[in-house]
Amino acid sequence: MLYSNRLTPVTIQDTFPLNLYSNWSDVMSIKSVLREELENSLQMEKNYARELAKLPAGSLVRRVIKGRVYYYLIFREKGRFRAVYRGKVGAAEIEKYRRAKEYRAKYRRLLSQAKKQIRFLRSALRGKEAI
Amino acid sequence: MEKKQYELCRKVLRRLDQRGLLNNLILIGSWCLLFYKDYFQQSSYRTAIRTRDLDFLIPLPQRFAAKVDLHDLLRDLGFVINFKGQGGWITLQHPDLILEFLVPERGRGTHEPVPVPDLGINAQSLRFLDFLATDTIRVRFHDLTLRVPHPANFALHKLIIASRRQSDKGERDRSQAVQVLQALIKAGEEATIRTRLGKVPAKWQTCIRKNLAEMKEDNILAILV
Repeated sequence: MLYSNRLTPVTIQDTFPLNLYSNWSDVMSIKSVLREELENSLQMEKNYARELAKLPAGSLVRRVIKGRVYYYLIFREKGRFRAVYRGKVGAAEIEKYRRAKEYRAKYRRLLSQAKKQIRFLRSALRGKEAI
Repeated sequence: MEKKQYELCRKVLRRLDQRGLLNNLILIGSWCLLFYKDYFQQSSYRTAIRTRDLDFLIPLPQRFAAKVDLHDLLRDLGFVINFKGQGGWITLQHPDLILEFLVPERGRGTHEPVPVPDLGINAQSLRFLDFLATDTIRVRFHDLTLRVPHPANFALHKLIIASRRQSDKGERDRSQAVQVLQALIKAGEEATIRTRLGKVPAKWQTCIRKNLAEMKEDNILAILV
């Protein structure tokens, strides 16, 4: 049964009413949600760190020397910049490093977001009761 | 974060819809409270607090028109695989949203995850989910049509499982159930609640009534007689 003939779109304001939590049961409900979310964020932190470790290290850069195209793999090792000559590389490898670069940036941003959530949730839950 | 979460939810649902998966999935869990806004059409209906978990119920037998690797489908949105529980069922995590996949548990039950080869995932099996799958409605969420349990089934299911859960979660289940039942009563659907209740085993009915009595929801108990 489709209720499309009497529908209004759900708006963003509907999802976050501010006047809901007026009694103790609501407060406890919020605390339980925060606890659950903290566990999730801690797990998420581990998962993003795992995914980042899986990505191939370094970035492939293109150099044109005397009209010819060569590739170098650049990365940091023990705090120092290194460039390893790779010569001519196939399109598949170029794509692999391009995707790795894209996902590295994305995962780092999301890892940072997860860490911020952990800090926020820990501070929100800090009180007389055990977290 | 809330706006981002909402937009991400829309993107995920749209992608599932584009691959023809939404027809075979039922949205359950606390996000239903948001989707019921469409059903109730009451200005007083408010969506309660919910977690980031967006739960999908896969009705049995599994029927999918095409094979889709869900992680590949959503990877570029930033979702990563998380293995959960003893058996290692899969959830897809993002700081704004966590996608969980559930199947109804039948027979003696097991802690092992249930493979869903068409989606490239393992799902968690849970008791009583068949009750949600037996009676579903379709609601609109922006330009999408979603399949969700009938609100009466949703609320009664919450009351059945509340006693079996940890105290915090159980409390939340009860409060969500009451919210939906009150909205149904306000919409004049008392008979529907009674019919749905009449379909569940006597043991479950006792459990539902006991939870409502503990919450002192006498007005709801009165219509269940």
